Formats: sequence, structure tokens, C-alpha cells
Amino acid sequence: MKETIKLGLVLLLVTAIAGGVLAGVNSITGPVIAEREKMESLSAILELFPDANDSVEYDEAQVAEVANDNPAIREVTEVIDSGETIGYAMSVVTGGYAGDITTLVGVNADGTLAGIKVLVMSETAGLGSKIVDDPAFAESFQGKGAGGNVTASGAGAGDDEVMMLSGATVSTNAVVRGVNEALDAFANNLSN
Amino acid sequence: MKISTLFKQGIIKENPVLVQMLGMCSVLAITNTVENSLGMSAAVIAVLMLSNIVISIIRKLIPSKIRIPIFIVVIATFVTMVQMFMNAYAQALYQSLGIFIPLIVVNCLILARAESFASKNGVFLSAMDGLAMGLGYTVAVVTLGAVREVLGSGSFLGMNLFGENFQAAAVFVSPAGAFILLGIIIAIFNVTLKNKATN
Repeated sequence: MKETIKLGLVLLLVTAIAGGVLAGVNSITGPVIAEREKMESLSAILELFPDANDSVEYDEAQVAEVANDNPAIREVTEVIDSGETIGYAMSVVTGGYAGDITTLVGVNADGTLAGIKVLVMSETAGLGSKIVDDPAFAESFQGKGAGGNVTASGAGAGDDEVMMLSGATVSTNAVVRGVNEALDAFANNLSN
Repeated sequence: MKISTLFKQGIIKENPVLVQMLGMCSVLAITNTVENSLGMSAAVIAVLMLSNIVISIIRKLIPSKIRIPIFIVVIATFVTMVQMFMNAYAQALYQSLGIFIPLIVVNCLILARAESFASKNGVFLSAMDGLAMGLGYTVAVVTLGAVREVLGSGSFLGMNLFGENFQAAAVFVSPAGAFILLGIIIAIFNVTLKNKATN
């Protein structure tokens, strides 16, 4: 009994020290990582809206207001070209086949999609990872969404249809779900 | 024990990959390009040396009954540190190595060195053992990575070697090709270097 407690305490001490060291390292690397991720998301916004020359990031309260019934929405950025709002970039998180997928959804001021970009995912290499690796997938979203939402079907040729990746149904649908939440939030809370 | 003996053992006689066959999972997965192989090797050397040093320092303090969980905690701490630094300062490499960085924790190579060497030897020797074994790992995975990248992608360190008409053998990029090449490399290694070193 006494020995068990002693062993437990030794292990506790070792893990406590390890935890402290990691907290220290995290306080150094955390800000660097956050800064880099912010830069990445800004350059991603420029990919979706090449004309943009300014942007306003919504604070937490504003994001909560926009997200309202669409909990997938995590960040909202208003995209501006010469003083005029040309659209919104929303980052949405939905559950994929292997973990969460973060997608940046660009919605034009007229409610159509400017484009999408999958920022973070850990889907199966060669199957689900096609949501990033196959450029045609993201391209199939451009200009769609006028009817309020999109569905995945075949090559995604029809109105408001986007490409269904074979072998990656779950991943495709996860992205589509996130895009539809963004379109929904835009229609309800952002379009005037 | 002489330092040169340690290096001879780590790189040739007891090469962790080609002789001891440790950590095969990550070896097969990350050797698809030379760059990934070098990045993974750097991470393994860092973790191996640091964990060997710390375990050697505390070897007399830890009760032998719970030494394995303590080794794992020490190793996991260093792996997480390497992962954080890589994510912060070497993002591209971090992305392409993906899940295999955290999996260094369960790479039996590192636990094996902690258990069989660092827990019985002094700090300096343990550090050198970590470096020697790490270099042995590096030699093996970089060789495998180079062959796989040249045959499977027709490039070396990302530079295209054969021009556009080269038809790369995609099988060498996949784990199946890695198995085949690993077998061939081990065979060549046994016939040439290892037997000479042992006899």
C-alpha cells in the first residue's frame, strides 16, 4: 500500500514536470503558430476574392450573431473592395470522416459562392484528401448557391450542384454541409 | 566503452532499421521523398538524444517498477516539444510528416534505447548512443527515401531529374513499393557492410 502511493507520487511528479515544461514551450510557440495561421487565412481570403483590398474581421459577439442557428461558423470576415462590401469569408468547421474539416467559404454579396478553400483536414490520403488535392472539387463550388444551398451530385454540372468525389462521400458531404451553413447564415443574417 | 564502437554499432552492426527492424511503421510511411526522410530523421535524432540524456540523468532516481511509464512520459514530452517547434517554424515539413511526428512516441527504437542503454549508462555515453542510433536511422531512411523518390517520382529533393517524358513507377511511392525496396536494401546491406563488420 505504502509503496503504491510512493510510486504514484513519483509518477505524478514526473508528469507534473513534463506538463510544466510543455506549457512553457507552448507559450513560446503558441503565438507563432496562431500568427501564421492568421496569415494563411488572410491569403486564403485573397484567393477567393482577388479584388479585395480591405477586410474587417468580426469579433466574437458579431460572429455569434451571424452564426446564430449555424453553429458550424467560427469566423466571419467582411471582404471589401474600394469601400464597398463585395462579400463575406466564413470559416466553418464540420465533422468529416477522420476528424474536423475547416473550410473557408467565400459568399459574394449577391448570395452566390465566390469559392471555397479547405484549410484544415485529416481525411484519408488518396480518398477524402481529394477535397484538397483535386482542384476541380473547389472549383465546382464557384458561382453556385444562388438557390440558397448546394448539393453534391456527379460532376457538379447542374445549377447549385457541386462535384461528388467518388470514394469520398463523407468528406464531400462534410464540406457541403459547412458551405450550406455559411450560405444559410448569409441569407438570414448578412444579406440586406 | 569507446565512442567509435558506439557509432559502428548504431550505424552498421546494430542499425535500428536495417538490423533491429525497429520503428518500421514510420519508416515505410515517411520515406516517400528525401525531404520527408531528412525531416523525420532530424526529429528522431532530437527526441532520441534528448530522451536518452534525461533518462540517463534520472536513471538512479526512478523506481524500476514504474520505469516504463516514466520513459514514455519523458519521450512523449520531447516529441510534443519537437511537434510544437516544427508547427511553429517548419510548417511545410510539419504538414507532410503529419501523424508520424506524434507517433515517434510509440516508436520502439526510442523506448528500446532508453531501456537497454540510457537506463544503464552515463549521460555522455547515452547522448552519443542516441546520436549514433539516430544516424543509423537516418542512413537507412534517407537511402530508402532517395531510391523511392527517384523511382517513384523521378525527382531528388523535389528537383526533376529525367524531364517530362519519364514515366515514374507509382508503386514505389506507395507502402507496397517501400516494402519491396526495404527488403532489397536490407539484402544488399547484409551481403556487404554488415557481414564485413561482424566477421
